[in-house]
Amino acid sequence: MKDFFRKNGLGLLIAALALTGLISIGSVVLPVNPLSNLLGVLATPFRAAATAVVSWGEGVYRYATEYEALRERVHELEVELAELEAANRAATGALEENERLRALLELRESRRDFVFESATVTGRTSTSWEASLTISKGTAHGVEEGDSVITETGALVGVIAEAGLNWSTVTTVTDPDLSVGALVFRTGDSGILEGDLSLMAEERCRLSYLSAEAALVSGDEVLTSGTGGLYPSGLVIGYVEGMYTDPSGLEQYAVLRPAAELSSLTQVFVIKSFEIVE
Amino acid sequence: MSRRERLHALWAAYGLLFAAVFFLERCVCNRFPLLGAVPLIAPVLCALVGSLEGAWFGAAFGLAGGVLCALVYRPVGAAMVWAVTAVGLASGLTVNRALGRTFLGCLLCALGAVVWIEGVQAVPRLLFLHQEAAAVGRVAGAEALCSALFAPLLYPAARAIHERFGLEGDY
Repeated sequence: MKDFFRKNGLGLLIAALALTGLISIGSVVLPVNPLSNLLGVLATPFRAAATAVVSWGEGVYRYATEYEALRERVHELEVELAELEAANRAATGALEENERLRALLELRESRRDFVFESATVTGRTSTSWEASLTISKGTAHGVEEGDSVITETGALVGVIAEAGLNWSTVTTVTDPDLSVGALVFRTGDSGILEGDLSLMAEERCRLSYLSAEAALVSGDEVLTSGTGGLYPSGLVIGYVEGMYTDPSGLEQYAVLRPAAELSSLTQVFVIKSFEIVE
Repeated sequence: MSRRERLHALWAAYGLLFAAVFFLERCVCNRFPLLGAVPLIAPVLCALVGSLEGAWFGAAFGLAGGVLCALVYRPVGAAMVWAVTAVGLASGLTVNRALGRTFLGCLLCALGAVVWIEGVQAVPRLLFLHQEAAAVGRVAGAEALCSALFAPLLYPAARAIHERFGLEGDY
């Protein structure tokens, strides 16, 4: 081995430098590093197989241990559904009145048009420094970096950080690298949703840059604000758990519980394009 | 078996072990975090290989493993290539010159590798991403601890490969 290095050491060093340069330049210049893309494509079937096996095991375990809790939860949801149906009937009248008034004032009809791509979750965070998911769709399906990802109930999961050929990496709302404009539904206070390394392990995130007058309470719903037009407005991010003051004493922030259950997601929807008319 | 054939068999055996470890780390361990952290097992294996097979083989194995690690451990990225190469090289040198090719010597090299890799990941986050030092320390510590737990688990497999195909002398 030592002789091999003596004869070929320079060539190996050049090869190592070239590989390092390719990885660095590829990460900066291209949307996805070509070697990462190739590794992702090759790993896709193994990831899918491992996810299927582990998910089956998790399903059996959960069935055995959480059956009673799930029965109770179903009952609670049935009650909640009945209440929401009643509220919906009352709101239908208001909606019809809204449409009549819009027509009277010759205002454009408000609408929210989304183009979705469904995907399964094939992998989860592979390091302790980030909170991300790998999904089964990529550029071949029209998925692009920056697309929002939601659950079937419209809760924000995160944003596409990398889109390979048939895989994509989703930076979730608890990842320290994600920043999204947010709005508190009840009070109208705006802020910036940020992941936080110290909250990530507890699957929580932080709503920063709140005004000094903001008076949020536990349970307040936080939505995306849609500021800048990068992400759709009105996607549910999570619920306030508590208000705190920054160590500097100058700023308030809220700790949020994400609406999406990130650790148990199996299917998500990528918003490939959207048009919102208010 | 000629020396060349032993070398090829050694690469194949360690390559298979690395593939199994990489699969375990990327597809299984990330679903069941220990102490709230996901273990980094690939650098631990590179340290063990360097300890058992010597500095040169360790550096070459670390280089190959480092390329794969660089593709998945963001945002440190390309720095991982050199960090893991250094793990293999330093483990071989340390074992040959100071600790000896024993169970304890290999474990100490694996522990040093884990601390080194955590430093490579933590320092950019402190200096360039300005993340909170206490949080960075907590994550790095938890990840180092649960990664180090795999060293004694991997040692028997690596030792068995070394006994069967390992090269004699200082490599």
